Amino acid sequence: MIQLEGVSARHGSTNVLHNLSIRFENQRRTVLLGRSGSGKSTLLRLINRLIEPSSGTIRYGNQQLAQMDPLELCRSIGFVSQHLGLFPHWTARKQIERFHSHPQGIEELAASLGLDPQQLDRYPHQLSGGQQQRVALARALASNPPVLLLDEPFSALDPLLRLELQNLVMGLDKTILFVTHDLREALRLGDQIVFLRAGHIAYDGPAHQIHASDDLEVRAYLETLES
Amino acid sequence: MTSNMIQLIFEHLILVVVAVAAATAVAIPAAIWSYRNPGPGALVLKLTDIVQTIPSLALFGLLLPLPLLGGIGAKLAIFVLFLYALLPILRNTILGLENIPAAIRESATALGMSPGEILREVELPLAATSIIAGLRIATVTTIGTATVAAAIGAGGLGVLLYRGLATVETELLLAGALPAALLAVAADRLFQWIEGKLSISPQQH
Repeated sequence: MIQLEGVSARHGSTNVLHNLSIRFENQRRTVLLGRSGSGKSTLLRLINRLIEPSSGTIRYGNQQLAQMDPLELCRSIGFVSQHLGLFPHWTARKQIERFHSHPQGIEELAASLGLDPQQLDRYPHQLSGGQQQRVALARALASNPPVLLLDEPFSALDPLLRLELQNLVMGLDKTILFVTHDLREALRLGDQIVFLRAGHIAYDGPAHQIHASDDLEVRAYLETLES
Repeated sequence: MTSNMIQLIFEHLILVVVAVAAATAVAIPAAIWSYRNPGPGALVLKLTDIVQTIPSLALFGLLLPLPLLGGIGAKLAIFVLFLYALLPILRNTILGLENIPAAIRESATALGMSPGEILREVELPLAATSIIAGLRIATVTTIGTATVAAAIGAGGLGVLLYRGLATVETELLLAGALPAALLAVAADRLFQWIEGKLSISPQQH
């Protein structure tokens, strides 16, 4: 369980998140939804301490996040961003092997994400966008972390590939926080949806109840489904 | 004549190798530090930049009266060559580190790598081609500048050049100039070859 209490965050001198209190349950998929600049990526990066909050506390299980060793913490949290950040000088196999402590073997893990052994011996630039995405996911899962943070990981993929990878994510037995600005993706993936509007919570609840929200921006988002 | 030339080429190489090696040992850590502390780092870069603009003969003259370091001989020559070699290595190392996409560094941190591990396993390998290019520029220019070192009695191929100039003997001039030029070309090729070996993914993320 990850719990934020009165958390604010800043980018330079501007406040990006304002006094947020949210609870992320274990083994559930929470989608952080909102427009660009709403603070969802910042919120995600608070969890693995890539960004530190300016105030408030975050609890990770029964520990205070701020008191945990950042390196240890990062090893227990998988992270994939939109830009992937694969290391261009390492083969896919090495990217996974370097962080591997999973009960599943590397090839087995890769195969479960749709990568064959031949692809493992290629460098990132020799792989397609979808394959790179799978490598990034395999690398994030290599240490068998209980928590997975995904920042718009599939936004650059074609719709069919996107669907396939969404299904892969849904098959994972993890606590997942997933950032997207796409309502369809949020409704498909999320057990819980947290909708951010300019750093405030506009909606926080079960995905299937978001239709009942009376927040204007949430409503505007919902209307895009009908068009 | 031949044995004398071999001796001078050898002296020349010693001047270059010692100066560039010392500059590398100082400039690469300095570049890493400057990169991590951009404020004072810019000052370091500015300082080496200023050194670069002073004509070499003038710098020899300026430092000649200094105790310990100054005086006629190879010691001062190596120090001046070292100062000149700093900038290209420093600048190229910083450039190489700066060109690494932020997403790569972020993902390395998020994977739980320590700053030291990120430097060794990710940043330096990715900056390697740029660093080698800096070494190439430093070596080639040092081979050229080292000919001036003969003016303060440091030996090397400059000895033949100065003697040739003084006596207006084309043969002597060429005996100094040709090996120096060949050395520079050879060093350039060698480093280009290493750069080629090291260059990995041409695609930027």
